Amino acid sequence: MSVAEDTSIVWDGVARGYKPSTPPLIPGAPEHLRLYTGDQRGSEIDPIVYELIRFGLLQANQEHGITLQKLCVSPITMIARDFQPSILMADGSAVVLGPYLQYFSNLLTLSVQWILENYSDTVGIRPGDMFLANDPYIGTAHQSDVALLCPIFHEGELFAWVGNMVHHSDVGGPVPGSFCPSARDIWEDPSPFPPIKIIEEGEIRDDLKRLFLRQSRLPVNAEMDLFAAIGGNNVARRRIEDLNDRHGARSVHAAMHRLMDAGEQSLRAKLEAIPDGTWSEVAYNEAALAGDEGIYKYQINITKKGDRLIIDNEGTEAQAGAISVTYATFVAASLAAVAAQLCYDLAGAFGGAYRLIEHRAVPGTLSCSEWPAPASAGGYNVYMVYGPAMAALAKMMAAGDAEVRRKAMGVPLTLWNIAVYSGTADDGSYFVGPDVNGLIGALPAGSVRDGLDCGGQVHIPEGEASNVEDYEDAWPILYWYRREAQAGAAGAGQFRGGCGFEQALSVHRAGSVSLDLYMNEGFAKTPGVGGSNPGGRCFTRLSGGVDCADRPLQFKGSPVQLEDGDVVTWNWPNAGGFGDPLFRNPDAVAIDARGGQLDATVAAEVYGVVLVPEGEGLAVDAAATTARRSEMSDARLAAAEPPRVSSPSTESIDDGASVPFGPHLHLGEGPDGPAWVCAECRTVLGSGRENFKDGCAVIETKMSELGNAFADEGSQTAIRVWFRSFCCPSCATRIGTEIAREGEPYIWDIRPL
Amino acid sequence: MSSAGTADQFWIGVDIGGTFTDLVALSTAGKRYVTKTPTIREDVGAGILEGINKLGREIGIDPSSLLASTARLAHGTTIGTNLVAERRGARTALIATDGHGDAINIMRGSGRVQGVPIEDLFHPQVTVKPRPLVERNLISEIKQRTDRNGDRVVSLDQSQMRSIIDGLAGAGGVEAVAISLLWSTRNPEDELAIAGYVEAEYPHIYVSCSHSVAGRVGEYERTVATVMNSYIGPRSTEYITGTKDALKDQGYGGELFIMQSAGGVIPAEEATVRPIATLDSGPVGGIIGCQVLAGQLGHPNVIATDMGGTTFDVGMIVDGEALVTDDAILDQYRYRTTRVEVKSIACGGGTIARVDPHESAIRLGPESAGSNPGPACYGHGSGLATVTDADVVLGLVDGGRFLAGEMGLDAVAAEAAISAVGEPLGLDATKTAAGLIQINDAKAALLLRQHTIERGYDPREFVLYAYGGAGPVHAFDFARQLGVKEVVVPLGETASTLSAFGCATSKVVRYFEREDTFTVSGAGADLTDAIKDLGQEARDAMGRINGANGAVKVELFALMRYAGQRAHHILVPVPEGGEIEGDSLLASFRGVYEELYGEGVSKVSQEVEVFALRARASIGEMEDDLIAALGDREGGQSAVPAPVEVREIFWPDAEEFLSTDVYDGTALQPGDELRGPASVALAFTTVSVGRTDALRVDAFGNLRILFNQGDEETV
Repeated sequence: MSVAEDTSIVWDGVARGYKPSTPPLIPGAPEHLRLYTGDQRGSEIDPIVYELIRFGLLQANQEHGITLQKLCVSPITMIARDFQPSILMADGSAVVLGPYLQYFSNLLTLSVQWILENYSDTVGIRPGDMFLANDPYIGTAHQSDVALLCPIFHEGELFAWVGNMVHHSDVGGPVPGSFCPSARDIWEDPSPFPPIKIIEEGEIRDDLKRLFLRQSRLPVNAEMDLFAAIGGNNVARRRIEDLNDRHGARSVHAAMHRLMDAGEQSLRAKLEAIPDGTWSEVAYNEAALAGDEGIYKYQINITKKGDRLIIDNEGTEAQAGAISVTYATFVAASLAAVAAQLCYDLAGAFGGAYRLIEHRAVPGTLSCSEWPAPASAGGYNVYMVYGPAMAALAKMMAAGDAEVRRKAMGVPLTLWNIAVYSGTADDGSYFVGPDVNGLIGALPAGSVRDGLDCGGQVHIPEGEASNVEDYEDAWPILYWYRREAQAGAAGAGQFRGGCGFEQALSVHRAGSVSLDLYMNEGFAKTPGVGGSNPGGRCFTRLSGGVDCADRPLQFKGSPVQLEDGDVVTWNWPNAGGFGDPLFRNPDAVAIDARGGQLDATVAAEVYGVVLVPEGEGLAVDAAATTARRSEMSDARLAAAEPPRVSSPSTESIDDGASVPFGPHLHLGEGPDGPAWVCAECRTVLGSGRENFKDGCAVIETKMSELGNAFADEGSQTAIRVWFRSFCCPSCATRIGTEIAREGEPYIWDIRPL
Repeated sequence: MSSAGTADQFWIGVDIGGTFTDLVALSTAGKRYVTKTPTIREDVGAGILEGINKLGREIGIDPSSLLASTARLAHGTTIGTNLVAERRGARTALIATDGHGDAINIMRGSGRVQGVPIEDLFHPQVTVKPRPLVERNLISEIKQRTDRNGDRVVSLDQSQMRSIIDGLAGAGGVEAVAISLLWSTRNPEDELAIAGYVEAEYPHIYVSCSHSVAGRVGEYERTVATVMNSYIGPRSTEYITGTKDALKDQGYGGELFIMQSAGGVIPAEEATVRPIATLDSGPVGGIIGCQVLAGQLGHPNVIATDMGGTTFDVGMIVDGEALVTDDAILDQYRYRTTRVEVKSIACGGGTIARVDPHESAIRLGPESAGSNPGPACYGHGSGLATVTDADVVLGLVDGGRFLAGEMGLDAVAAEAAISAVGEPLGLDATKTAAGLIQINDAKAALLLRQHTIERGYDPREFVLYAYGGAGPVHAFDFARQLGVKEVVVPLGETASTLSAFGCATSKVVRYFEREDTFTVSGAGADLTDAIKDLGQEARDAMGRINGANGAVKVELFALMRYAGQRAHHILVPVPEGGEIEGDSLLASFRGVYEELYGEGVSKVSQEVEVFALRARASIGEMEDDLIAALGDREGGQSAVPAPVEVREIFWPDAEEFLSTDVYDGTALQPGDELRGPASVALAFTTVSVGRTDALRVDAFGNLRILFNQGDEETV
């Protein structure tokens, strides 16, 4: 599946995304800029000194993050910690990543490499400089995420970089909060800034600072957040210089190389435990512009070959409206997915793992847009790359050895449900309020355990939602409730996805307030893994107001004026599940029911578990459950279309002669070559060289018929998207599921080489 | 043993640990008596009385006479911490504002990572949320709502409230109620109304209100504090009241004082109303003990370090006072309380060493072998290579003298475990052990350095106090790297009673806070008056405390930040009388700000504001006199003690074996001086004296390590 790299495409950061040379080409080196070469033989560093430096680097980066949080004033950074500090090698490769927004680190790498390749002999890179940048065609997901990069020199040579990326509350553009869902091109977006040297040899450039702050509706906040970023870099730079003083720059440099090697080695060891193959996932977006009813396809393919991963977007449709993301986002988001699934064991010092990963993006597509596509909505469209990448990786890991399989994790999200309010309080003061309570989040199910309810975000380990009182203190709003969601059909599986939450609010003591950005998905987009249900749908509802009736909302509509008495309700949906819900341990269903998180109807309808009263609570009726599950299996087969490819030459393959490729799927060796086998009843589904789905009984249901958790009532998109269940034709185990636009072929998502 | 004069009065401190209860008595004659008795888990109070008996025998008077002549008895307890850790607290119901009862379970989405080591942060599959403190069916939402200005949006539904409370009380087994309503800090009326109903109708139920337990904005942290307070309330009250009564029966006529986590003691009665003030006060007693000693030794700035088996706890004393913070995390629950800041990291005797497979590098921690199975040398067959094993291999710790010889250490097992770690790297046991100690000590030094520099302090202006089982073994090394002036092993051979000493000697301390915003540009009479008022409030409240004599000392501080910086503040001292000058406040703030975050970072247009005022009120001049008397006793003649043996010890900083004098620490006298390299064996630890250092015993019995006293050059 993977596409060959077209070497004729120019990746310049101008006409399309920026892709650096490997290693970056530094014009004018060495007369204009010399890189510290030191001792690259990292393996020869004393193991004791190495451990001390490693620890020192982790601490420096941690302190950088704490400083950002302390000094910022925008709730999105100060409370939600929508930022990321990193330490990078002289050539821009990230060595140490902070525990905040993971994909930001990968974006910093791109910006540093662009600066090296473009400014070394012109603008110049000198001690005491810092560069600010927010150009999505170079190194950010959207203009709101602003990078500040600080080179560190040792005896006149470029030694390393520290840098951070901070989400600014407003960087301009037509919509308060700077997400512009109706932008048709970049000129209807905030202006992107290619790297500018905002601090020159220790002195802030007042002219450039003013230029940057002039963009914002909240220049005072922007100034404070910018200076917080400067303070963070100052602290981290000092700590690294201190390490150089203590241990010698040679040792620190060697240790950084060795850390890179360790990250690489850690990923390689896991890849070696996985067979070669290609794993894919498709996700559909809607509303390319406000009001649009089109449905748009994104695809991620991950090819594992030897000790390499190749990530491509073949199958993704042409860029459209305001839902495309740039190459930088494609790279950053897919790497963040790899990090979450496979690089969990190095406390953030895993940057070297990326050496084993290659990106091949088809330009001009939704996940690799070309100038002048807008990018400001990249902050939530990024998950159209991250979500499918998480799914493809989970399926890949399900084919690994026992240890790798155990770590596979489902999909947390495919959209960031954000609401942005703006306007005035009753004292006339202006505000822009991005509600990022999505940080309450929900962890997806893994291959051996349930996701955590309100468990935060996988890719923002240290993220934190605000208190209700914090937002009410900052903005003229009032929250009526904020409640944990129920463990219903959304995210159901052998292991269920974590539950999200729901909240409702009104304007309060306000002047004039509008809801500028909101999400009301027509259909759920977060795929389930291994036969589980998908995660839930992000919604926003608006009720009350002058006419006291519900006002229907589009997925991303035009700004809505909020009146006194209007109630805005929105949710964070349950995360995706893992495995067939009929395989869920009935006791786990009973525990959820006893905790009030699930009712007996859902237990019976979704899980086939019959609960009966026992004392003050509920207990499993084992016999009735067995009978109920058997009926449900029969019903599946009765409702299903028979397999497209019928009767393979062999009927079954023994347990010992096959290897896992999913919770309910094995690959065995039959007389005609590799064959797909149902892991539960050993029935052969078909040739391992073909899509296993062709050998399954298939149930297709319109998303619009799956209820409110998965589709918005009356949605014109949900009636054109289908939920497909692929079941074993013999025992009815649901081996796979997919969400597909009408008329699309089955996604061929598991292809062993 | 010497008998006490009949006119002597005593100040007694009691510290109850998991294994031992320590007691210290200070007499007005300037004597210090210590004793130790096993903690009786089922009846902690009985353990205290047993301790008093032993203490009486030590002093030479009968226990009732001892209690009768006791001026003050204060004690530190871990009862609250244990109740939370073991989930043995009261069956607690939570009353929340309608729609917001889930806040305690939502935990702002970050509950799974609070207090989790960085090694687990990137691994969502191993993180979990803590066990709930309140059963889901005991969380009730009540119809009422107040807004940010404290104005009512929805009035309290009285009849619903009564029926909910009646239902909870009737449900049986609800022993405590926590009331935490939105914006109660700006309008406490509804919380008070609900509490009033519970108290009137169900006086046996323990009640806490969030506005009084933790009166700051931020409902999650405030709710956790309130729930914790109620959760530990009934058992803590029973215990404190029981102990108080038992002491009274035995002849003690004074007030019982309890060590609080903010440092300083508070009267028992207050501890029963706000038991959260005592929660997690374990490490605080030691820091306060250091603070008291430091006052006598003329050490205004101290880094207090307690390196035990699993953790390394660090507190800081600046200008004579322990630094405090507003946040605490217990069992992944973050809550709001004023407490002595203790930075705790996984670094101690039990920290496990291993080789990282991807790096071929030695990794130390964060996992710990704990005490069971413990390090390989404990002989329980764990085979786990730990810092203590490395100490044994090098000879820094003598297996035969560990825990005063009560527990032998298995040197063979230690060497085998350490060898196994070094083998893949081609290092022998000695080299590996030395490397592990270097890592351990350098990590400790780095963290201490960061802890001081992060706050704008220079470690060279500090003295380091080292205690805990693994502290004095390594202090010579990490303190030198840090660059501090001197190391003190507080109280020497009786260092294990430091917490009890802290209780006996601590002042009565209370914090008072007022949240109110004053912009610095407009600072004037309003701010001056607010400061005066808060000072007066503190004085009045302190004057009402029984059993605390002496003048009230009040120190006042402005909590300052740039407007909007809610995660940050800088504490600026302000005078109680006199006009407040906006310009000088601003200059102080900006000076510290640039020192911390870099030159130029304060050149912003944002307003600087005072958002809260804090008063720290204390009483305790008598204690100062008493402690000073301890240092006046006879002795102090310079003498050179005789070593009990000479042993070959591998010193990790010198990277070679050196013939080292070994001393029996229990035989050392004030005034004794010895030179390194030396190893001084105490009952619960070993003090390593580096090869260029000297050790002197001062009049208090503190062991003081002075650097660079030998002939060799500084390293």
